[in-house]
Amino acid sequence: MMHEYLVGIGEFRVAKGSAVLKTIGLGSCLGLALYDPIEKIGGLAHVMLPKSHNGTIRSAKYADHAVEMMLEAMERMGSKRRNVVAKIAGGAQIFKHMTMDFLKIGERNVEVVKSLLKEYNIRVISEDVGGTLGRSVYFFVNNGKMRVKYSNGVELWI
Amino acid sequence: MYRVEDLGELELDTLREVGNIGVGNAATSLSQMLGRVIEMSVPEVLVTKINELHGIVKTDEIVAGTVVGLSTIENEQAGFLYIVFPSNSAQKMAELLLGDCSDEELVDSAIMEVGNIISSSFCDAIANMLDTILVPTPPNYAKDYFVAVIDVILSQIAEKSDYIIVFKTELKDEEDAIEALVMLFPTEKFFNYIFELLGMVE
Repeated sequence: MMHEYLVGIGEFRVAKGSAVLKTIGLGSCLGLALYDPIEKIGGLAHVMLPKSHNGTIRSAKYADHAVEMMLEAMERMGSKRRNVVAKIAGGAQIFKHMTMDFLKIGERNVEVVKSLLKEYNIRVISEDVGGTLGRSVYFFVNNGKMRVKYSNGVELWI
Repeated sequence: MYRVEDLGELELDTLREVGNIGVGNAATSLSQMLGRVIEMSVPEVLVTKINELHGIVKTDEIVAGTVVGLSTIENEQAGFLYIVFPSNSAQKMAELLLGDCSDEELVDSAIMEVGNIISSSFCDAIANMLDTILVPTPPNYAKDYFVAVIDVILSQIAEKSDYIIVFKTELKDEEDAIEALVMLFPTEKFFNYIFELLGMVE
């Protein structure tokens, strides 16, 4: 039996081998998975905000901190940075009727995370981003597959 | 200036009382709209870390949710109201209001309107009590995972703090056919403003 670990809003978790990392109800937030296929070490972060400001306390709620913190944790478990690849899901725009501008944050989250991963030379090997539906994400650390479950019940593997 | 994590019993009680008055008025509006008796649960005020939100609400439930932003008269962001109907409850309510529910868009806009009316009555009651003005934005509506609907708002709050304060009450009719959850996420601006109005801070 594979153990499931819940990643809360703005948190991250890493695991090795047979484990499932899951995060529930991503709207504008982003599920960012990093994976080392050689060592079978993976991490999943539930990213809320694109970038930290100078002087903010380190937290996985910011995309830039999430990448750093997950890489460090994975390295401590024996992963090599050059082997790490990424998968991302989320960044939707949930509201049809929208009156507050900041509600469009989803798109920006996706852009920032992509350019950030480029800076780190981490390749995004698959993604399912944007759209108007919420997603729950299950990341299987034993094989690096990600199950994306939409709020309308549709599921897909990336 | 109070921060969320500094709030003590007295401050939380005050917020509970303020929210209570808001929800009381909202329940009356809902009851008039539906022509049914609506009961409200004892309001709770919870301070929680954002990453532990799944401990107090069913984050993966599919809901019909209306989100309204609140501003003070000086146009400062005071907080957000989240009116949540579980999907079967939303359906039942639309039946009561519309009779015919075949047009999905019409159903959605009816539910959004109910959310809007609940928010406005909530707002009015609080503003009245405090003798001030709170300006609600037009409603934002979505049908999705409980948490997916509000994660943009949590992100806004997360820019400033890892904690949120949640005011939570359930509204129900006698047959348990209609259920709604009213949640208020006040910003630090909001509760400091309230405490100031009530003379609780110098």
